[in-house]
Amino acid sequence: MIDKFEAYLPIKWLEDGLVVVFPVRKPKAHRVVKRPGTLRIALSTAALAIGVSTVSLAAEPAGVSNFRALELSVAARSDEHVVPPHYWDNLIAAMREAPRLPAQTTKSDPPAAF
Amino acid sequence: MLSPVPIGSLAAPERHLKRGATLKHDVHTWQETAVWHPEPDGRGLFLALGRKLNAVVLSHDCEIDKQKRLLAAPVLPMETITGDALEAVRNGKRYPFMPIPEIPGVLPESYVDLRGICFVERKLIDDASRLCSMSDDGIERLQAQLIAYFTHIPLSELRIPPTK
Repeated sequence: MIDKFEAYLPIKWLEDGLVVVFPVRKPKAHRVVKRPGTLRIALSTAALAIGVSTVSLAAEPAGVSNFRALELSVAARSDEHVVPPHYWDNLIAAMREAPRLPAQTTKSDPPAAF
Repeated sequence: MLSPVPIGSLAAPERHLKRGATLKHDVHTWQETAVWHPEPDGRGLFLALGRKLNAVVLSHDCEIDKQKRLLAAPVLPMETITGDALEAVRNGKRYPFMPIPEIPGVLPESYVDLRGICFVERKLIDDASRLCSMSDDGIERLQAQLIAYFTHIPLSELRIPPTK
Protein backbone atom coordinates (compact mmCIF):
# COMPACT_ATOMS: atom_id res chain seq x y z
CA MET A 1 0.00 0.00 0.00
CA ILE A 2 1.45 3.34 -1.00
CA ASP A 3 0.00 5.70 1.57
CA LYS A 4 2.90 8.08 2.18
CA PHE A 5 5.61 9.61 0.06
CA GLU A 6 8.17 7.50 1.88
CA ALA A 7 6.51 4.55 0.23
CA TYR A 8 7.79 5.83 -3.08
CA LEU A 9 11.42 5.67 -2.00
CA PRO A 10 13.34 2.85 -3.65
CA ILE A 11 14.14 1.30 -0.29
CA LYS A 12 10.43 0.85 0.39
CA TRP A 13 9.88 -0.61 -3.04
CA LEU A 14 12.32 -3.32 -2.15
CA GLU A 15 11.27 -3.87 1.47
CA ASP A 16 7.56 -4.00 0.74
CA GLY A 17 7.88 -5.99 -2.42
CA LEU A 18 6.57 -3.18 -4.58
CA VAL A 19 9.17 -3.80 -7.23
CA VAL A 20 8.18 -6.14 -10.00
CA VAL A 21 11.25 -7.76 -11.41
CA PHE A 22 10.89 -8.73 -15.02
CA PRO A 23 13.00 -11.48 -16.52
CA VAL A 24 15.93 -10.25 -18.54
CA ARG A 25 15.10 -10.29 -22.23
CA LYS A 26 17.90 -11.38 -24.44
CA PRO A 27 18.08 -9.90 -27.93
CA LYS A 28 17.12 -12.30 -30.64
CA ALA A 29 20.00 -14.01 -32.34
CA HIS A 30 20.36 -12.84 -35.89
CA ARG A 31 21.13 -16.29 -37.26
CA VAL A 32 20.98 -19.76 -35.78
CA VAL A 33 23.42 -22.30 -37.12
CA LYS A 34 22.32 -25.86 -36.44
CA ARG A 35 24.96 -28.50 -36.17
CA PRO A 36 25.70 -31.58 -34.04
CA GLY A 37 26.28 -30.76 -30.41
CA THR A 38 24.03 -27.73 -30.43
CA LEU A 39 21.85 -29.16 -27.67
CA ARG A 40 24.81 -29.63 -25.37
CA ILE A 41 25.96 -26.07 -26.00
CA ALA A 42 22.44 -24.78 -25.42
CA LEU A 43 22.22 -26.62 -22.10
CA SER A 44 25.58 -25.25 -21.04
CA THR A 45 24.44 -21.75 -21.95
CA ALA A 46 21.23 -22.22 -19.99
CA ALA A 47 23.18 -23.43 -16.98
CA LEU A 48 25.47 -20.44 -17.27
CA ALA A 49 22.50 -18.11 -17.51
CA ILE A 50 20.98 -19.61 -14.37
CA GLY A 51 24.30 -19.17 -12.64
CA VAL A 52 24.49 -15.53 -13.67
CA SER A 53 20.92 -14.94 -12.48
CA THR A 54 21.74 -16.48 -9.15
CA VAL A 55 24.80 -14.31 -8.78
CA SER A 56 22.73 -11.21 -9.59
CA LEU A 57 20.16 -12.04 -6.97
CA ALA A 58 22.79 -12.84 -4.42
CA ALA A 59 24.46 -9.50 -5.04
CA GLU A 60 21.23 -7.52 -4.65
CA PRO A 61 21.28 -7.00 -0.84
CA ALA A 62 24.48 -4.98 -1.20
CA GLY A 63 22.70 -2.71 -3.65
CA VAL A 64 19.70 -2.45 -1.34
CA SER A 65 21.82 -1.09 1.46
CA ASN A 66 23.07 1.62 -0.87
CA PHE A 67 19.57 2.98 -1.26
CA ARG A 68 19.66 4.03 2.39
CA ALA A 69 22.10 6.72 1.35
CA LEU A 70 19.20 8.40 -0.43
CA GLU A 71 17.37 9.07 2.81
CA LEU A 72 17.69 12.60 4.10
CA SER A 73 19.75 13.12 7.19
CA VAL A 74 18.27 14.97 10.18
CA ALA A 75 20.37 18.01 9.26
CA ALA A 76 19.16 17.93 5.68
CA ARG A 77 15.53 17.74 6.77
CA SER A 78 15.85 21.08 8.54
CA ASP A 79 17.67 22.69 5.63
CA GLU A 80 15.49 25.28 3.96
CA HIS A 81 16.79 24.20 0.57
CA VAL A 82 15.06 20.85 0.77
CA VAL A 83 11.33 20.38 0.94
CA PRO A 84 9.88 20.81 4.44
CA PRO A 85 8.45 17.87 6.40
CA HIS A 86 5.13 16.55 5.09
CA TYR A 87 5.49 18.51 1.85
CA TRP A 88 5.22 15.41 -0.30
CA ASP A 89 2.48 13.88 1.86
CA ASN A 90 0.41 17.04 1.48
CA LEU A 91 1.08 17.30 -2.22
CA ILE A 92 0.17 13.68 -2.90
CA ALA A 93 -2.98 14.00 -0.79
CA ALA A 94 -3.98 17.07 -2.78
CA MET A 95 -3.27 15.30 -6.04
CA ARG A 96 -5.45 12.39 -5.00
CA GLU A 97 -8.34 14.70 -4.27
CA ALA A 98 -7.97 16.76 -7.42
CA PRO A 99 -10.23 15.94 -10.34
CA ARG A 100 -8.61 14.52 -13.44
CA LEU A 101 -8.63 15.96 -16.90
CA PRO A 102 -10.45 13.76 -19.35
CA ALA A 103 -8.53 11.14 -21.27
CA GLN A 104 -7.75 12.17 -24.83
CA THR A 105 -7.31 10.40 -28.09
CA THR A 106 -4.00 10.52 -29.92
CA LYS A 107 -5.70 9.72 -33.21
CA SER A 108 -5.10 13.05 -34.91
CA ASP A 109 -1.82 14.01 -33.24
CA PRO A 110 0.92 15.39 -35.46
CA PRO A 111 3.67 12.90 -36.28
CA ALA A 112 6.72 12.79 -34.03
CA ALA A 113 9.58 14.94 -35.27
CA PHE A 114 12.11 12.12 -34.89
CA MET B 1 13.92 29.51 -26.88
CA LEU B 2 17.10 28.30 -28.53
CA SER B 3 18.13 27.42 -32.07
CA PRO B 4 19.41 25.15 -33.37
CA VAL B 5 19.52 22.44 -30.71
CA PRO B 6 20.16 18.76 -31.49
CA ILE B 7 17.16 16.90 -30.10
CA GLY B 8 16.98 13.16 -30.43
CA SER B 9 17.25 9.76 -28.89
CA LEU B 10 18.55 6.27 -29.45
CA ALA B 11 16.87 4.72 -32.46
CA ALA B 12 15.77 1.11 -32.67
CA PRO B 13 17.35 -1.23 -33.49
CA GLU B 14 20.31 -0.34 -31.28
CA ARG B 15 23.48 0.35 -33.21
CA HIS B 16 26.61 0.60 -31.11
CA LEU B 17 29.90 2.16 -32.00
CA LYS B 18 33.30 0.67 -31.26
CA ARG B 19 36.40 2.83 -31.17
CA GLY B 20 38.55 2.35 -34.26
CA ALA B 21 41.88 3.69 -35.37
CA THR B 22 42.92 7.25 -34.66
CA LEU B 23 43.84 9.07 -37.84
CA LYS B 24 45.99 12.11 -38.45
CA HIS B 25 45.17 15.30 -36.56
CA ASP B 26 43.71 13.22 -33.72
CA VAL B 27 40.65 12.28 -35.75
CA HIS B 28 38.86 9.32 -34.15
CA THR B 29 37.08 6.67 -36.19
CA TRP B 30 34.17 4.55 -35.04
CA GLN B 31 32.96 1.22 -36.29
CA GLU B 32 29.30 0.25 -36.15
CA THR B 33 28.79 -2.99 -34.28
CA ALA B 34 25.95 -5.04 -32.86
CA VAL B 35 27.89 -5.64 -29.65
CA TRP B 36 28.01 -3.11 -26.82
CA HIS B 37 31.57 -1.88 -26.27
CA PRO B 38 31.57 0.46 -23.28
CA GLU B 39 34.57 2.50 -22.27
CA PRO B 40 36.24 1.66 -18.93
CA ASP B 41 33.89 4.04 -17.13
CA GLY B 42 30.89 2.08 -18.36
CA ARG B 43 29.75 4.63 -20.89
CA GLY B 44 29.70 3.95 -24.58
CA LEU B 45 28.58 5.38 -27.87
CA PHE B 46 25.60 4.47 -29.99
CA LEU B 47 23.81 6.01 -32.91
CA ALA B 48 21.01 8.41 -32.16
CA LEU B 49 18.29 9.74 -34.39
CA GLY B 50 17.09 13.30 -34.16
CA ARG B 51 16.89 16.75 -35.63
CA LYS B 52 18.50 20.11 -35.10
CA LEU B 53 15.66 22.48 -34.46
CA ASN B 54 14.27 25.15 -32.20
CA ALA B 55 13.89 24.03 -28.61
CA VAL B 56 12.64 25.36 -25.33
CA VAL B 57 14.60 24.69 -22.16
CA LEU B 58 12.41 23.11 -19.50
CA SER B 59 14.89 22.97 -16.65
CA HIS B 60 14.15 25.42 -13.88
CA ASP B 61 16.13 28.65 -13.77
CA CYS B 62 17.76 27.51 -10.53
CA GLU B 63 19.07 24.39 -12.25
CA ILE B 64 20.28 25.96 -15.48
CA ASP B 65 23.47 27.43 -14.07
CA LYS B 66 24.32 24.35 -12.02
CA GLN B 67 23.66 21.39 -14.26
CA LYS B 68 25.74 19.94 -17.09
CA ARG B 69 22.61 18.60 -18.75
CA LEU B 70 19.37 20.43 -19.29
CA LEU B 71 15.95 19.20 -20.27
CA ALA B 72 14.64 20.55 -23.54
CA ALA B 73 11.60 20.04 -25.73
CA PRO B 74 11.41 20.52 -29.50
CA VAL B 75 9.54 23.50 -30.93
CA LEU B 76 8.02 22.78 -34.31
CA PRO B 77 6.43 25.07 -36.87
CA MET B 78 2.63 24.91 -36.87
CA GLU B 79 2.65 24.91 -40.68
CA THR B 80 3.78 21.28 -40.70
CA ILE B 81 0.41 20.06 -39.42
CA THR B 82 -3.06 20.29 -40.89
CA GLY B 83 -6.69 19.36 -40.31
CA ASP B 84 -7.85 18.11 -36.91
CA ALA B 85 -4.31 18.11 -35.52
CA LEU B 86 -3.85 21.77 -36.39
CA GLU B 87 -7.15 22.72 -34.81
CA ALA B 88 -6.41 20.77 -31.63
CA VAL B 89 -2.83 22.01 -31.23
CA ARG B 90 -3.52 25.63 -32.12
CA ASN B 91 -6.34 25.82 -29.58
CA GLY B 92 -4.39 24.06 -26.83
CA LYS B 93 -6.74 21.10 -26.65
CA ARG B 94 -4.11 18.39 -26.37
CA TYR B 95 -1.92 18.00 -23.30
CA PRO B 96 1.38 17.20 -25.10
CA PHE B 97 1.35 20.30 -27.31
CA MET B 98 1.64 23.92 -26.24
CA PRO B 99 0.91 26.49 -28.97
CA ILE B 100 3.26 29.43 -29.35
CA PRO B 101 2.17 32.51 -31.29
CA GLU B 102 4.18 33.89 -34.19
CA ILE B 103 6.90 36.32 -33.22
CA PRO B 104 7.50 38.38 -36.38
CA GLY B 105 11.05 38.07 -37.64
CA VAL B 106 11.96 35.59 -34.94
CA LEU B 107 9.67 32.59 -34.88
CA PRO B 108 6.78 31.34 -37.01
CA GLU B 109 3.63 30.16 -35.29
CA SER B 110 4.86 27.01 -33.52
CA TYR B 111 4.13 24.48 -30.83
CA VAL B 112 6.14 22.80 -28.10
CA ASP B 113 6.01 19.02 -28.44
CA LEU B 114 6.36 17.55 -24.95
CA ARG B 115 6.53 14.05 -26.41
CA GLY B 116 10.07 14.85 -27.53
CA ILE B 117 11.55 15.95 -24.20
CA CYS B 118 15.15 14.89 -23.81
CA PHE B 119 18.26 16.07 -22.05
CA VAL B 120 20.86 18.08 -23.91
CA GLU B 121 24.46 18.62 -22.92
CA ARG B 122 25.03 22.07 -21.50
CA LYS B 123 27.74 22.79 -24.06
CA LEU B 124 25.25 22.32 -26.91
CA ILE B 125 22.78 24.62 -25.20
CA ASP B 126 25.47 27.26 -24.78
CA ASP B 127 26.41 26.96 -28.45
CA ALA B 128 22.84 27.58 -29.66
CA SER B 129 21.46 31.03 -30.35
CA ARG B 130 18.89 32.44 -27.99
CA LEU B 131 15.83 33.43 -30.00
CA CYS B 132 13.63 34.76 -27.23
CA SER B 133 12.62 34.17 -23.64
CA MET B 134 9.27 33.41 -22.09
CA SER B 135 7.54 35.97 -19.94
CA ASP B 136 6.38 34.99 -16.46
CA ASP B 137 2.95 34.30 -17.93
CA GLY B 138 4.50 32.07 -20.58
CA ILE B 139 6.50 30.13 -18.00
CA GLU B 140 3.39 29.55 -15.89
CA ARG B 141 1.52 28.40 -18.96
CA LEU B 142 4.31 25.96 -19.79
CA GLN B 143 4.38 24.64 -16.23
CA ALA B 144 0.63 24.10 -16.30
CA GLN B 145 1.02 22.28 -19.61
CA LEU B 146 3.70 20.02 -18.17
CA ILE B 147 1.55 19.15 -15.17
CA ALA B 148 -1.45 18.44 -17.37
CA TYR B 149 0.63 16.27 -19.67
CA PHE B 150 2.30 14.24 -16.95
CA THR B 151 -0.49 14.01 -14.39
CA HIS B 152 -3.77 14.90 -16.14
CA ILE B 153 -4.46 17.13 -13.14
CA PRO B 154 -5.70 20.66 -13.85
CA LEU B 155 -3.37 22.97 -11.96
CA SER B 156 -6.27 25.27 -11.08
CA GLU B 157 -7.91 22.45 -9.13
CA LEU B 158 -4.87 21.57 -7.04
CA ARG B 159 -5.38 22.70 -3.45
CA ILE B 160 -2.30 22.09 -1.36
CA PRO B 161 -2.55 22.92 2.36
CA PRO B 162 0.30 25.13 3.63
CA THR B 163 3.24 23.24 5.09
CA LYS B 164 4.07 24.14 8.68
